[in-house]
Amino acid sequence: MASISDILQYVFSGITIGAIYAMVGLGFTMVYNSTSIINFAQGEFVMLGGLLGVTCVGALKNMGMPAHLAIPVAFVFAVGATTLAGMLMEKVAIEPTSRLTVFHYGGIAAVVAWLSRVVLGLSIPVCVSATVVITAVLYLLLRRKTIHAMKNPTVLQLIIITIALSIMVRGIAMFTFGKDPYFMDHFVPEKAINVLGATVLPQTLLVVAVIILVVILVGLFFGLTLTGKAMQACAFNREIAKLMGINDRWMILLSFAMSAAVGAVAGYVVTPITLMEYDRGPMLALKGFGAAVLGGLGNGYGAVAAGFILGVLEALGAGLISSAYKDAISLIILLAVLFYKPTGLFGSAEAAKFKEF
Amino acid sequence: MGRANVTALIVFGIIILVLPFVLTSPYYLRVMNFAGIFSLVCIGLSLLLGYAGQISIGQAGFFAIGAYSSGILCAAFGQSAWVGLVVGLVVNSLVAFLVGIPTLKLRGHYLAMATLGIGEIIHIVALADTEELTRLIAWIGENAGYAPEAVSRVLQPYKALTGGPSGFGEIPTINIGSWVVSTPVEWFYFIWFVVFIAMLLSLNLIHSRIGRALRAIHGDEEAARAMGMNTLPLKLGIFVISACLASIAGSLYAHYVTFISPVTFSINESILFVVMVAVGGMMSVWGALVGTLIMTILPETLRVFQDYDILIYGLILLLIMMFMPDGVVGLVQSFFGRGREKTG
Repeated sequence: MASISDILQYVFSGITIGAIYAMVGLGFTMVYNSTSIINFAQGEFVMLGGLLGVTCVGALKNMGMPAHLAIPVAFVFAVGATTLAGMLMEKVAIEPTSRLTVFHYGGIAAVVAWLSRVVLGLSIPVCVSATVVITAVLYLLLRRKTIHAMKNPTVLQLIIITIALSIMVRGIAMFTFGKDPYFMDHFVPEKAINVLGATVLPQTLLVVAVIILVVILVGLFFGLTLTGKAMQACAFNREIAKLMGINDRWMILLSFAMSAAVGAVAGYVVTPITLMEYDRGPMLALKGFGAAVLGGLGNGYGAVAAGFILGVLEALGAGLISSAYKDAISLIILLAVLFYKPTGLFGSAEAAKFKEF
Repeated sequence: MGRANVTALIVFGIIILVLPFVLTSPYYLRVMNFAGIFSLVCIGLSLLLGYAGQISIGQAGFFAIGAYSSGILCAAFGQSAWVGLVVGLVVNSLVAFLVGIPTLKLRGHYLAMATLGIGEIIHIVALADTEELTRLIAWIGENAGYAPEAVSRVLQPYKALTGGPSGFGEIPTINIGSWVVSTPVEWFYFIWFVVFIAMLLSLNLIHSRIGRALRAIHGDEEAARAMGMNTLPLKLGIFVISACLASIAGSLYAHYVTFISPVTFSINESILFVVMVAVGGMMSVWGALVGTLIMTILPETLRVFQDYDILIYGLILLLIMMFMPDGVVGLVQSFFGRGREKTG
C-alpha cells in the first residue's frame, strides 16, 4: 500500500492539474451564465495564454530584458491578446446581426490575405491589392443586403460554432507556434520544498496563489461593482435585465472577454510546470466542462472547487490504481455524482431548469 | 409517411443503384462507403437529438462496442460475421438500457456531460490494453478478499484482447450465404442497402404514434408528462435504437476496414457525429444523411490545401452554422416554402 508521503505527493500533483481545470471551469461558468452555451474554445484560451506568454518572454529576454521584468510584461501581453481574441470571437461569430459589420469585413480581408499569401504564395503587393479589391467588391455587393446571421440561434448551434472557432484557433496556433511543446523557466526558484516527505515546487504554490487571487477578484467584481451586478442580473433573467436598461450584448461580450482572460492567466502560470502545445485545448475544455458540471453549472465557486476535486481524484487514481484508467476513474465518480444529484454538487434544480437545449 | 418522403426514398434508392456506374474510382467509392457507415450512426443520433430532443455525445462508444464485438469474435474466436453483429447489438442494447436509465433523467448540459463521460469510458477501456483492465479487475478482486492466484487464473484468457492503443487487424470480411462482400462496389451496395432500410424504418417510426410522442417530449417534457405520457421509457427506447444503429455501423466498419484501433472511437468522433446531424439539419432524418455526406466528403476535397485543410474546414463549419441555423436540409426546405415547424 502507498505511504502517507506518496498520497501527499499525488495530492500535490493533483492540485496543480486541478488548478487548470478550476480556471477553465470558471471561464465556462461566466460564458454559460450570460449565454447558456458551453464555449468549447475555452481550452484554446489557456493554450493561447501559455504559448503567447512563452514566445513573448523569449523575445523580451533576447532583447536583453531581465527575467523579473519580462515575466510581468509578457503576462500582460499574453492575457491582453487572448482577451482580444475572445472578444473578436464573440463579435464575429456569436453576436446576432442583420448587416455585415466592420468585424466581418475584417475577417474576410484576413482570410483573403492569408489565402493569397500563404496558400497561393503570391507576392506581398499582389496580396495587398487582391485583399483590398475583393473586400471592397464584397462590401459594395453586400452592404445593403440583410443577411440575418445568428437570428434566434439554438444553444446547440452556438455550441457547434464554438467548436468551429476552436478548430480554427488551433489551426492558426499550429502554423504560428508549430507542433512541438514549449518550455518555460519557472517564475520562482525551482528548489523543491519538502512537506512530510512529499515535495512541492514553489511554482505550484504560485499557481495556487494566483488562482485564489483570480477567484477573489472575480468574486469582488460580481459582488461590488455595478457592471458585475448587471452581469448577474443578465445571467438570472436576460429579458427582464434588458427591460431594466442593461445592455445585454455588452454583458455577453464582457463575459467572453473575462473568460478568455481567466483562461489565459491559467495558461500562463501553469506552462512552466506542464509545458504547452497547440493541441492542448480540447482536452482542457472537456475537463473544465466536467468541473463546471460537477460543481453545478452556473456556480463559479462550485466549478473552482470541482476542478480541484477532479484534479486530485485523477492524480490519486493514476497513482494508486492505474494510470491508464485515471480519466475513467474520475469520469465514473463524476457520473455517480450526477446520477445521485442531477444538478451537480453545488447547483440548484431551478437554475438547471431554465437553461436547456 | 407522406408523399414527399416516399418520393424522396424512391429518388434515394435510384441514386444508390446508379451511383457506382458514375463514380467508378475505388477512392470515391471508399469515401462513399465511409459516409454510409457514419450516416447509420447519425440517423440514430438524429432520432435521439432532432426528434426526442436528447443529446448524446457518446455515440462513438456504441460504435466502438459494435466494432469490437464483431472484430474480437471474428478475428480471435473465428465466429461468423453475423454472430459478431448480433452479439454487438445485444451488448449495445444492454449497455444503452442500463446506462440510459440514470442518464436520461438528466437534462441539457448535464445529459451532454454524462453521455460524453460514458463514451469516453468505453474509449478508455478500448485504449488501455486489456492487460491494464485485467490488472484493475485483479486489484478490485484482491481487495474484495479473493486469492491473487484465483483472480489471475480466471483472467488469464482475456489478456491483450483489444490490442490496446495499436488495435488489431485481420478481421475477415462479411458474407451473405455464398456471396462474399469484397470489392468496393459490392461494399457500396451492401452498406447503402442497410442505410436505405434504416432510413425507411426511421421514417416509419417518426410518423407513427411513437414519433409524435417523441416530438411532444422535445417540445415540452413537463407538458408531455402532464398529458399522461410516461416519458422515460420512450426516451430509453429511442436511446437503445440509436445505440443499435451505431452498433450495426460499428460491425460494418470492422468488417469493411478489417482493422480497428481506439483512435476511431474517441470523443472527437462523438462530437463529429453531433456536428454532422446539426450541419445537415436536426429537423429531419434526411438532415443526418446530408450532413454526414457533407462532413465526410468535405475533408477529402480539402486535401488539396494540405496542412491548411483544418483551418478551411473550421471556417466552412462556422459559416454553415452561422448562416444556416436549420442545417442544409432546413435551408432547402425553406426554399420550397416549408415552414420551420414542419418536420420531415
